[in-house]
Amino acid sequence: MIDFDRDISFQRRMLDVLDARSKAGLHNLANQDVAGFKRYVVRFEDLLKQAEAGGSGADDVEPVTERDQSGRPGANNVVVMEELAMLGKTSLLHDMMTRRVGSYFATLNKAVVGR
Amino acid sequence: MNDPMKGVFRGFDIAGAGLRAQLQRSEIVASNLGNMHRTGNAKNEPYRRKVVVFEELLDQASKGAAGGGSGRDMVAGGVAVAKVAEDQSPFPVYYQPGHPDADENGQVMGSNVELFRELIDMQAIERNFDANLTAMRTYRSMLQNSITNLRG
Repeated sequence: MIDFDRDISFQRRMLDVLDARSKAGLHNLANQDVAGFKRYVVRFEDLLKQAEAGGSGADDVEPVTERDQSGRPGANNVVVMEELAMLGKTSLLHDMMTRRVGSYFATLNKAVVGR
Repeated sequence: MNDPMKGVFRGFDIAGAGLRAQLQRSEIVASNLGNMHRTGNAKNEPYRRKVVVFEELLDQASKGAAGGGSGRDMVAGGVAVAKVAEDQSPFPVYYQPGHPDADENGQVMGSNVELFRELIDMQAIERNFDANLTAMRTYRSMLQNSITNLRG
């Protein structure tokens, strides 16, 4: 039985995380001149690692959007180049994940149509 | 999945808000430069330098529920100009008798705009604008790649 939801569930969740992360990056860059702004981070991979080390299932790990409180209190902690690098990385990972989803459906297509 | 940052085109709105805010700031700098030679005296104030103050924008819908605290319910919304404040630093005084704005002692007050500070501000605005634009391009190529990769 082919279950689309199950087969690409990880890719789908990862794409959600990457989408949220890229928006957080855009938001951080837009706010680089706001006094006292603390940057957003979207955590997922480290939570996944923790869940796996703890023996609990990786399926119910939810991404967490939170403020990075590093830097002096009340000071803006956005570093432009780091945000741009993060966006580049996110974009590449997003590309990889969409490719995986695409090839999954291409494989199914091949099985059904034969080409 | 109830992701607070949903909506594909929200990314463009966020980056667009950053671009718009920087553009408004550059307009204020241009105004400062244009008016920097407007003199005055004790009765008639010279041009006072304007400064733009930015504020972070968060999505209204979830802001109320989360009580404005930090957490996963906060939704990115970009940035906006909160207000245009006035620089309260003192005006420089020159001795220039015969000037239309001179008082009985020949003192004229100049504006508190400093040319080089404004020029440096303009440079910073340009860098900031470029960063937002680069980010927007990256986001666009991300979406474009998704379309290409998922096309059957």
